[in-house]
Amino acid sequence: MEERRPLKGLIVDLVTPLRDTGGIDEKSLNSLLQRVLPHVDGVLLGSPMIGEGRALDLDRRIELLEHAMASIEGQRPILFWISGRSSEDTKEILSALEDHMSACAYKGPVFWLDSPLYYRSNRGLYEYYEKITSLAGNPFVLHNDPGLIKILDKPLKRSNIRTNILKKLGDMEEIKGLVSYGSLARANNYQKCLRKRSDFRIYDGDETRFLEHPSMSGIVSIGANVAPGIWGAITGASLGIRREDDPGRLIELAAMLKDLLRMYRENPVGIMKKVLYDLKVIDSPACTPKSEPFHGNVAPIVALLSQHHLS
Amino acid sequence: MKKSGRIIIQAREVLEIEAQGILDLVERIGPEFERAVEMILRSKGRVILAGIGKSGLIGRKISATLNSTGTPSHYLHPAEALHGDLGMVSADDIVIAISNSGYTKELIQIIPNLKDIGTTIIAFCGNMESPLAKESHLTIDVGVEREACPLGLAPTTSTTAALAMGDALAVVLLGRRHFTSKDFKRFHPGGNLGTMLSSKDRETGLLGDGKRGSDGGT
Repeated sequence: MEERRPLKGLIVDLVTPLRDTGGIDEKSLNSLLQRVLPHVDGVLLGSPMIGEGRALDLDRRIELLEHAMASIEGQRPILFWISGRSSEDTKEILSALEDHMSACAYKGPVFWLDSPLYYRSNRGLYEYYEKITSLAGNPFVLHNDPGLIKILDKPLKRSNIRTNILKKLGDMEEIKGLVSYGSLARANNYQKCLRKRSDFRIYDGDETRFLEHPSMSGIVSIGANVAPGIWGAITGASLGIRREDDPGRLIELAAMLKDLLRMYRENPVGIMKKVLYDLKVIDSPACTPKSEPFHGNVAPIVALLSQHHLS
Repeated sequence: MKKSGRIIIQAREVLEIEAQGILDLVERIGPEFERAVEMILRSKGRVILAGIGKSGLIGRKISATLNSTGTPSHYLHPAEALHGDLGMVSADDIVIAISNSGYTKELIQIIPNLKDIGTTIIAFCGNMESPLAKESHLTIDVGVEREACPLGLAPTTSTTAALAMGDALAVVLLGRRHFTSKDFKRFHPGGNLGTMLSSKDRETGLLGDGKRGSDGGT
């Protein structure tokens, strides 16, 4: 497997633009990517919640990856969600995506994002990853979101990857990082068990947590769909990558992001798509049947964005 | 939640994060640290600490600890260095440059001058890909996984980690130099520590001059 350094910084959890008739809207995807790429360090595609990956079949996933690769052209690393409804299903998705990537000889960095507890339990996870990583030409990032497990038809007893199992998984060079949602205490425990891997990244999946106690690996952000520049500035300053000359402005921007977060928390996919549609970035606010469409008014969000010259 | 409850939770979170930052260093410390110790022990000059802002303050504390424990040291302000204070540096000295990002402009600017003088540069840095890490003769990784303070407004975990690494260096050097209580008393006659050592000496008949250290300070 090619040696690949894990990315650091702002990763946008991108919504998946869809046509009213279904299918990936290539033009809107390109327009959205061109809007966010200058400000982000990585792009997460087809994530289970925001990217609506749970409702995208294999053909749609391949289509999404293909269009995104054509648009991103290796400028930024891609994280792509590969989990299916079972271990076999996931392997099938992975193989198909790997085959497709080989066929189009894409040279940019791609990481497979996997939520193991979405389709299996903690038992035998190490052995499972030994197998699945050997099938892949690209490295992995794990996705630990207890919120995702709780909405399953038959939720597992445990909704988090167990710490002792993650410690073992940390021995695998092919696994480069983890997106962590849930409590700070758990994130600390994960960090503790992975101390030996100084190159292992633990990204914050929770935007509020990052705004309070930022992970130095970075953030997977929903808000960056509509406010990529602000999230870029906040992440850069938090990680010490870019020095902000006016800390007062930084505090104002963080407060604005918290306001924004409060506004979209209830229905992030529907609201993000409606805002992007109103801003004429995407051509349709269409969502998959698994996501609740938004019927209300996003004018306050658009007004907030325009106050900060973001519309 | 009651306001006071939230305050305690937040404070605990900060302490947890900072403690975690130090514990991470335990796993990461390695041959570079040993090399730094050997370089300092072999050096005929002083150990000069340099940094800006909070890192500068940490540098001052490390310098004070080194002085107290038998390693002659002083602090160099990188901006002042460019305006004449480089005269404080000799080829025999070792400069420890502290910057979490490794991009601190004032620090990067003096590196060519330090190299020109012939000084050895050790970086305490949180970013191994940064110009400071790359340009230094040796880099000790003091990177942390999480800052306790938001938005990079004030470094917290990272400065704590740098300070702890400085303490580790001073204590290891102290052991390697076979530093005794008599040596410590020579450098630190004042404060409670000095007083304590003087009374012990009086008890053992080592001092016998009736002098007492001042109160306060350690």
